[in-house]
Amino acid sequence: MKIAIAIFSLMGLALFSSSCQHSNASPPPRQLTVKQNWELKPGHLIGGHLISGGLGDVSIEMRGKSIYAPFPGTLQAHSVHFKAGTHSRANSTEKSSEKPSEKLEDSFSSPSTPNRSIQCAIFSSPELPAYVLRLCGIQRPKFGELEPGDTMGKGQTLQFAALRKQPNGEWAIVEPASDILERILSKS
Amino acid sequence: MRTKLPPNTTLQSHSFPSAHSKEEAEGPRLFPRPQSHPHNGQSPMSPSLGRNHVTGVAYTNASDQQYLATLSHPSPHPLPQYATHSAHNLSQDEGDGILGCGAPQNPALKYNPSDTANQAVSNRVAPKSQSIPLLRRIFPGIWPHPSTLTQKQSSLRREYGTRSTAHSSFAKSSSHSHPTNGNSQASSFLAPMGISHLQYLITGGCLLLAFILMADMQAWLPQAEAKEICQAVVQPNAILSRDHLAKVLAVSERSAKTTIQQVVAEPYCRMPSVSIRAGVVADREAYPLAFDPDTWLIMLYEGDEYAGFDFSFRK
Repeated sequence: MKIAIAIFSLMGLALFSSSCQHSNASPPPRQLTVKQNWELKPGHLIGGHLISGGLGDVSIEMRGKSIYAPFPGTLQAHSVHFKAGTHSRANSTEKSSEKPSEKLEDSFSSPSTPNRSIQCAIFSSPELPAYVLRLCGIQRPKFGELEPGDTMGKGQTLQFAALRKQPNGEWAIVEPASDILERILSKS
Repeated sequence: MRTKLPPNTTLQSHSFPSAHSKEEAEGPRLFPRPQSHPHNGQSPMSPSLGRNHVTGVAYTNASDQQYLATLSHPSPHPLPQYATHSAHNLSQDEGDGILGCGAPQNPALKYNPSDTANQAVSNRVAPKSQSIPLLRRIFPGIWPHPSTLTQKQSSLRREYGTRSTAHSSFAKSSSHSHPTNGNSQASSFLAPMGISHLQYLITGGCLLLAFILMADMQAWLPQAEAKEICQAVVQPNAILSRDHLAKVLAVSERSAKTTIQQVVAEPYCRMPSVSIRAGVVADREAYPLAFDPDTWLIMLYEGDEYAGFDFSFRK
């Protein structure tokens, strides 16, 4: 009996290791500085409520449907940080708070922060220079290298934003074209 | 939570036409909030049944106990009696099997025929023997009922069980003295040979599974064709030297396209146009690197404006 249990555990171990072997190593989270320094952003808290989309985000009713990679590229996690929405002037220090260490402090150390978060992901493609796509509200994201048409994840209400690279390295939220949205919403 | 309105304002409804307007025209649907979970014995969330599933031995349902006892043992006794019964068998028919469930580790207990010792053995053996019927319920194929055992298997198990306890002359003689009563047949299926069969099955399955999973399945699949990123080749001989690459990368975004064209006249090819920004068509051009032909520099222009670059690694 003990042997059987040992073999079962070995089998579990083999399953675990092989699944690790097959899946792409999850890429590190992508951090980026958004040019538009708006007061309310996804991940902020207003009156105890989480903001899931801000100015520049296109809300799409996915109703659990999948979204697809429009180009060969990489899907990376993107951590949006919590911020209490009560401050008005302190927001001018937005860019400095983009540092990961302070984000961690915002996300985990603040006692007033409820245990809620919004899942965001960044899709970037070498065939699409100067642009990245931000997908907030994505569920079950498949981080890593993706081929065109691969499922990036699912969602109920997807917050889509297209960001364009600025010469100084910041990213500006731009109005997305319907062409790129169609590529994401329908399997190519 | 009520949304607070500023004073002197009116709230009007505004609906967007959509494909789902018919569905939404009925107004918000109010789903009755489910009441607290009705507690009935059949519920899978019933705590007693849940405990049974988790531990596998903590039977709290009397009928379940009886059912399992009849499964595991031909005697009509319910399970608590079965536990003592097993201990009784142990003192007489050790070689036939219940020892396979762990009793051999305690040889001192075998030699003590007193009731206290039997009780002690039953405490050790009973939970394990109770778990066997559950396994049989889960794996009816690989954990056969004792009645389905062939005579050959039974005799093999008796031999094996006898060998395994051959170090104990008492056990050996006792196993020969009561070789074929019903209780010993029931317990013989717990013999090491039976576990060995299961062990072979599990080992084989495990090895097969491990082989399948660890083999690189990607190698068996047909390789995806190398996708051509080019739509139209402009200059087949165009390759980007290190010097040119450095100069191109030194050009800042938002510069005029002509600034790039002053460094490299023509790209290798043009890629299909895409539209990321509303109202703007993005043109992409690709250059293979002279010192690494598998790496391509992709430049993106919007109108006459250079927007950015990236490297595509093609393998």
